[in-house]
Amino acid sequence: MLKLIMQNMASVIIMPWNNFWFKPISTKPLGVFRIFFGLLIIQYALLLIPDLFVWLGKDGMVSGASINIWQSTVRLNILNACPDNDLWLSIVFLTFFIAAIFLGIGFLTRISTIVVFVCLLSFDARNYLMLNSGDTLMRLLSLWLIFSPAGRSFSVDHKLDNIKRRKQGMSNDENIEAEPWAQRLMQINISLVYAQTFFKKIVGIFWQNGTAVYFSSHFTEMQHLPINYIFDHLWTVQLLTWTTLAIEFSLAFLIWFKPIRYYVVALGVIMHLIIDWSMLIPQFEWLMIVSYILFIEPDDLDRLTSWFSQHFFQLVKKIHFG
Amino acid sequence: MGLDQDYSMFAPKPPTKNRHVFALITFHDQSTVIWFYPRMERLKYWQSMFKERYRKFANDNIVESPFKMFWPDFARYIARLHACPGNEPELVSIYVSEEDMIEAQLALCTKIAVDSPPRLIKLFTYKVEPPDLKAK
Repeated sequence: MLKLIMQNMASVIIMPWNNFWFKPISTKPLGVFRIFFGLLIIQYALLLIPDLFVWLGKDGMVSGASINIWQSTVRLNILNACPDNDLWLSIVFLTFFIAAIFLGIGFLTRISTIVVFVCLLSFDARNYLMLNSGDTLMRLLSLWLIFSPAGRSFSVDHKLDNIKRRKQGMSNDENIEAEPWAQRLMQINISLVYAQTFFKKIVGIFWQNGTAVYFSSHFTEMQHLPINYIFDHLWTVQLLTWTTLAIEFSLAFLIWFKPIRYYVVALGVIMHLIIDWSMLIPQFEWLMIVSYILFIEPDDLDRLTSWFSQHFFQLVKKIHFG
Repeated sequence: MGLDQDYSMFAPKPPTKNRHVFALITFHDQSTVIWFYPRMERLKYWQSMFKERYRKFANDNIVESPFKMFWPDFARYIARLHACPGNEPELVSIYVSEEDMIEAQLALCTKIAVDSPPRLIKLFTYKVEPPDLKAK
């Protein structure tokens, strides 16, 4: 009897649990995610460069000493270990920028990811007051990425590995599989972002009465490109407010159900594109959209990439040959 | 270790005020100048992409009282921007102008555009010392 119960438990709980975390899956979705994530880190650096010394420099808006006093906990900040001058900041930032490029192309991937994470953590610790949600999520995702096999697909590391294999008389290793636990942590982190925003919003009076989108769209400092009519009528504003809540709930919980996953992802993409169009939030929306790559099944990604490359080459042929 | 995270944009309620920061700088000869903090809606799109952190810093953080310990740093930064040999800044006063957004139902249902008058709030005045003006 006990043996039967144990067997049932194993088949119902332990096996799915182990499969979820440790059954090897293709590293291709992770490889595609790494490329786009690397591009976003490069964009982060480019957006920061013009005001680098204003935010992080020794004569910036807030001093490192004040930040260190204000923060109640000790945070890892390599800028504290460097001499307090802008030359060292420039060196650290240049290292970060190079590491971001290496991360994108997948060269020395794990080391590059560690450098990116440590630098993001240090910049965040140096000036907490300039941080937005995109910075926080980038930092977290780069941490999980350190432990993942992100450099094993679509990367320079993979190409170099194949060259080495050919020299040793072995064939190329194209269908690489690895334990997905780090990718799962990233997926859970993404879900938690939506879960937290959903539960924090649902208690707010403006989210309940459906007028929250009115206020966010009339916040002048964040206005971007206009969407006429939608933000000017109560029924559309209410529809958008409650739809936002529903989509965020779906992205937190329903995304885990495979049959409806891509519908939920499609809604998420539409929501973030509308926000990106109407509001000035430089990176967060694209980061969320890119993070959905982590939820794509490897077979579906193969189909998507072959469809895309086929149509892309057809389009190039049409343009080139008329 | 940097594992902390919090995502509370527009939660539990979105901002209901539009706020703008500016500073009044008084120089040694008692002349004054007003310094306007970058305002996103006055910038071109590509400029605002680069300057978005200014909005975050001021609107969401520096004007709030939990961050008042950074006001002297901010004032010193503004003073350094206006350093003028022979006529150095002596006082930096930081102000915030804020106006309430019209209540949503009223604005959308009646279409009556009633601008609420902006309130001017003086956050802080800082007396500038000569060492403040020197780059460290």
